[in-house]
Amino acid sequence: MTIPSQHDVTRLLVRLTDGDRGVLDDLLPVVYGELRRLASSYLRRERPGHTLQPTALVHEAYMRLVDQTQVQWQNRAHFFGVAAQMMRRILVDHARAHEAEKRGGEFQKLSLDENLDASGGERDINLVALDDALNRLAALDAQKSKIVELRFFGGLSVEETAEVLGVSAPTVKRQWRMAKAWLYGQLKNT
Amino acid sequence: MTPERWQQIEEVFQTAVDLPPEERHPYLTLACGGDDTLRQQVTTLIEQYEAAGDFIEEPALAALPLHVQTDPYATMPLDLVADIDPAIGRRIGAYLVAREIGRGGMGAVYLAERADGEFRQRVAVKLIKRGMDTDFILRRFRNERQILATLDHQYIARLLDGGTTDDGLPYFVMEYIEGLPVYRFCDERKLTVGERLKLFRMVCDAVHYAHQKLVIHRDIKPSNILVADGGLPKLLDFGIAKLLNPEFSGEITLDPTATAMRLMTPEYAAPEQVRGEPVSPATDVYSLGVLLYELLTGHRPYRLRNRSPHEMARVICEEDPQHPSVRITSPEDLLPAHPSGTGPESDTLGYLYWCRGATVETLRRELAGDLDNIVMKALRKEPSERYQTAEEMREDITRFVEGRAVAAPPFFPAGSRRDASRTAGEPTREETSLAVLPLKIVESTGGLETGGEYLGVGLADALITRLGSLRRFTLRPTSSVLRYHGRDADPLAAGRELGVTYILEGRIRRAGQTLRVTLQLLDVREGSAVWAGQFDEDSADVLQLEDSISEQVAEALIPQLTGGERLRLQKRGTDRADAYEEYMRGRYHWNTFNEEGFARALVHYSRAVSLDPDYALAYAGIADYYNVLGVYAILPFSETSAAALQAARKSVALDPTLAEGYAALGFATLTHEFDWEESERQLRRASELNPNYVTGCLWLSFFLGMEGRFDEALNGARRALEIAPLTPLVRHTLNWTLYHARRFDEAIASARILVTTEPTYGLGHLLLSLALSQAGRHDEAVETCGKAVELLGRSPYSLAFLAALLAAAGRTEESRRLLEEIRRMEETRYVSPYMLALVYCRLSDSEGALEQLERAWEIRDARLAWLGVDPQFDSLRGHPRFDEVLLRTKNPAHAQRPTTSGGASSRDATPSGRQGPDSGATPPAPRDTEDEAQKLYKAGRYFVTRRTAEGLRQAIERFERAVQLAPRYGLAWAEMADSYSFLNWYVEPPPDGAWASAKQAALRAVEADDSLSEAHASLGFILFNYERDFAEAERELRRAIELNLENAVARRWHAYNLTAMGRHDEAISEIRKAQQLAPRSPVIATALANILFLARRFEEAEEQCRSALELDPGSISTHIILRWSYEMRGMCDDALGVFEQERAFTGDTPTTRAKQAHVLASCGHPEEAREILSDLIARRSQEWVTAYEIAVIHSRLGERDGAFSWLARAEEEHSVGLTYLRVDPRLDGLRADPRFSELLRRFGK
Repeated sequence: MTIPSQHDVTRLLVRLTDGDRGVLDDLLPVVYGELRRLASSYLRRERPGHTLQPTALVHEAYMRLVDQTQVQWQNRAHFFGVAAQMMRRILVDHARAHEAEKRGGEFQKLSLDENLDASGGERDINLVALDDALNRLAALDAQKSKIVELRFFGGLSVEETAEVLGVSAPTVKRQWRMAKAWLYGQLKNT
Repeated sequence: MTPERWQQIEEVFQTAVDLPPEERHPYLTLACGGDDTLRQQVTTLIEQYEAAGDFIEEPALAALPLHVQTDPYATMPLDLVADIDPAIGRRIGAYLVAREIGRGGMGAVYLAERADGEFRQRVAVKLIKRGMDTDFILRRFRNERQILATLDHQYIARLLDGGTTDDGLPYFVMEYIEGLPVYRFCDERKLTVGERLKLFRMVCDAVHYAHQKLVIHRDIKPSNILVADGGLPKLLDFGIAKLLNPEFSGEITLDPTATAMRLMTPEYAAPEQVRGEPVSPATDVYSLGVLLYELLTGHRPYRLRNRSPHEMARVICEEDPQHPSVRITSPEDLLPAHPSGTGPESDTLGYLYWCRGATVETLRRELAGDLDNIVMKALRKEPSERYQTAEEMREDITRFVEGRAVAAPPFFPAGSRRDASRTAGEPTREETSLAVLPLKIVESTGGLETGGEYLGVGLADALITRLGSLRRFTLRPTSSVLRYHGRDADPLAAGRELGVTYILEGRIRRAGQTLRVTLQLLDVREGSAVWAGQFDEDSADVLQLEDSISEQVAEALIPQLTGGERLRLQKRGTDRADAYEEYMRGRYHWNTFNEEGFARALVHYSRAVSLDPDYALAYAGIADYYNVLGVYAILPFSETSAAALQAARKSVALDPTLAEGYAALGFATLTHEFDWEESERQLRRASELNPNYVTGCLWLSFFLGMEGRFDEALNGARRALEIAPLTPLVRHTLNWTLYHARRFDEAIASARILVTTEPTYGLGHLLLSLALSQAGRHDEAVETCGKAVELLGRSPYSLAFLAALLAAAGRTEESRRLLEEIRRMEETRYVSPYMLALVYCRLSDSEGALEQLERAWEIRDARLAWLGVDPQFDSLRGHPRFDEVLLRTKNPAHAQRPTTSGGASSRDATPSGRQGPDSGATPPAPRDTEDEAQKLYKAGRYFVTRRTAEGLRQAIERFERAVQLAPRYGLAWAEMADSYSFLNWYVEPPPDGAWASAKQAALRAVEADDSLSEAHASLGFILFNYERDFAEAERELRRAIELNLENAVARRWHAYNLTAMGRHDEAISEIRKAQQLAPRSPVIATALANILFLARRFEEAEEQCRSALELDPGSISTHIILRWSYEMRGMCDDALGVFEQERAFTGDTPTTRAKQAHVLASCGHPEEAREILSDLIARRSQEWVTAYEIAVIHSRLGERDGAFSWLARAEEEHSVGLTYLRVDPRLDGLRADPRFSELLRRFGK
């Protein structure tokens, strides 16, 4: 498989912003590949106390994949939307692959161990269960599911999430609290 | 779970979690009704919400201090990125690259150290990014290097070295500046305004120096100015700078402006940069202005709704920023702050003032005036109006610092009409309107009972009442400003939305027992503060607080208050602070306008009157509670009737000057006693006492509508809409009245406005569904009603409407099932028999319907007041039992026909001739025959007002029967003629012979009564529209006007006829006379617009369309004329915008597609227009479009052959638009053609 050049990705992104959803099929594998490559490169260099931030991954992927002199401001939002979806797939796949291992996989440790120390070990997020619950949520309320994806998997801030979805920040906050409450219930019962 | 259920849960949940825990339980009881499952689901969800803590709050991969640079204000250590950057550790020239310190679109800047052992030196190396070495970028890179080489200034980062790397890429080396971006530096060092200005002047020096070297920086922004420890700035990044030196121009003209636009930072771009126009030193002055604005105010100058290029360009090129002294009080759009560890929390206004060593007051004083003017001069849209050089700007700031007079003049936003004699504080009376925004509660510290938010709304509400009582300015009512509650709205934007000249906004800070209220009064047009004040009061004495505030605000607006005005301002209604507080709480809940809010309001009002038994306003509130619950069928009348009347009577007895009391009394008198005369008296009294009391206007409008006095009702509703343009209930009242006036298309259009602006307002959807159903659009109606039910809850009231609409749609089974559900509800709650009757009636169960109506009368169901005009009962009209109930309600509408806008008074004439002295000219018909004929005539008129094809057919049938009984009934003949004429507009395709029948009837009308104005008007109308005998038409129409000078219809038609002949000035003068007769008639307003359009006075036509739309925002014809005019003027964006609105109103019909082809043809999309056009032509046998419209589209496309062949067809078919062939501007492309002269020769006499 040939790796699409920066020029190609930029072109795809511009078309995506122009409303051409068809280009997603071409864009997703590239973004996915780049994110995965970056993620594992970060993980290999894992140092004590150093975990990694999805936002950084996404931004970095953006820098690498996109010619920023050629895209307009809102392309960025589109890219983040796509990237968050990809991050979810990477992380959940990873977690699924290690599900057999007790205490979850590498990613879960990364994401949870420090938090456990910090606040009493109650929140052991099962990413696979969360992924399933998010799919159920999407059937009820697609936007809330998307918000969780962008914020939790994509690491986007409330404002960035609002920008990606084209809604206001307070709307994101309200939707988020409902989604969070519901997901909490779903995961508690698994 | 279904998505619907989910939504239901969400609605309750979102409200509940915002409530303090102890209020949740009562709320859930109210909100869930008997739905225990719902309640359980919400409760569980709230528990989970509380237990969730920071579940999923941290992103899946937890944070680490790793920053990829996106924030222009942050510094940029990039440890991890360095690991994979091949430049790190590389040797470039004499330097070893250590780490990245910044990056842009095309390259990166690295910290490097001298590695040749000569001496230690840290430098910044700029490199082109891998893969970015295109010709264009390489050229720009060299350009920057060249520019830096020409610059040598202490405040500009110096070029030290440059060259080409081993792999052939250019690089250069600059001095490394260890410092902070200027904005951050100022905040971290807590620089005062004076210190900030000092620093800024140095930046001006640097920019001016560059200008002298003919370099325009083009990208001045805080992150490009670093300030080192010593406090000296250094200007960086000449990456997109432009050299004005012609010697180099060969290189840079290759730099396309569009690319440069993408490269610059939009927030700092000048309008000319956004527009792609040439740059000059004034361009950098503009960016300096933005920088100074930020340094002084902590805000960006512009508010962007989004970051789309279009929005940015619009805002930058069109909007004037607020004055800095005003902007500093806006808690919105604060620039990111840098937490300091001490001092107030960052990202708050408190922090903003603190890190400028100021308070809001001292900062405002410092900025107001000269500094405002200096900043605004730099930010002018027009480069020639700015400082021409950075040096000039620096000089003016120096003058300010030294206390000398500055050169910058005061700035007034564009469009402000300020005459020299007027000063702020002395606005002229007729243009003064004021809105008071709900006050913001800054922080409610403990010790107080919950529900502090009522105070913000309550205080605003009280100020509105008090200031409104002066009647010196128009106050927007509380219901209009509530939408800003709990929102950090920009007060000036709110002011513009509300259409007021002044806006009062402020905050309340509660600390223990003390209230601190900070307020400012802003001049909306000028964006400046007129008055500001701060009040500290013990929270127990809110009344004292209101006294002081309202007096000071009033004084700020009116220089000299009279003694009486002062007294009115001080009117409190009660002297007991505790009673007053209860009342305010009641108002707060009342204004939420939902069932729960009403219930809570009642509790507080009742407490208020128990504390102060003489509290008239609180009694009026109680009466309104019962009125509303009765009307919305929440409680049975047995429970509300006596209570409403009693409270209202008590209120007016206690205070006979209170509009609130009389309005409540008037409405209660009607709906509980059905005493129409007395009710009107009370409602009129309320309106005299306070014409701006919106609820009073609404009740009166309802009342007039019930009586079938639709013109008056619509006028009242529109008046209310002027006072309270944003209150949903007000718009709803207008829609409701249009609906009952059977103006369904207009009701639909207006209701769509409401559901668009207030998508969660259930009554809006409900009314829309009713009107859709009457217009025969049953599926849409049912769907819309479903939405209404969702929003209003499954109450018997909303469900009954849904069941009725299902029945009307022929979905009988579903309707019956729903009816059963409603009837089951009767066991637990009140179900209005009127509403049940409605369902039975639509199910064609007359027996069931009549039974319920009779029961409704027994219990005096208040909704019976609408029985006389409710379109849903039309199938029962004429049934003796129905008429009997109607008679009992004593509704004058029972014996009265509805009227139309601009109708002439002689429409009341009897079959035997017009009323008046000469009515004896015609032999009277036998009394009962005459009665019967008159009844039929009235029924006919009633159907005419439905304004549908079916209505016209029904009307014609009635008129036919009327003239059979009374052959000399001139008015019935005339109406019949008009109805036949109108068929040509309402029926597609027009039925054969409609015009012929019309003419025959008109001739009979004239024959029956030659002195009847209407008869001649009808004939004239036919002559110019059908026979195109304009001269003969003119004679008839003149005769009609002579016979009745007040016949506005005849004048309107006369004006149209004159227009068709090209006599535009006469036409305009005639339509203006019609307008004087019916000043608020939207039909005439639109006619004027149409005539102006045909006279090619496009701008006036547009202006007139806008006023017509104020009278009737839903008028389709007005939209069409507006769009045509835009099209003629080539204003394509506007034209397409209007078209989208039209499409939203009418949905997808053949006519809509014809309009679309029209606008596309005019706006440079001929291919798409042709496609639609050929489709329209192909399907014309099934879906009618007039031949004339097709001809016009051909003409707009420049297709003459097509146009002429369709014009010939239009002639054959008597297309209605053809009347204006001689003048229609849309046919201009054809006029030079000999075929057109030929056509005109045949056309018209």
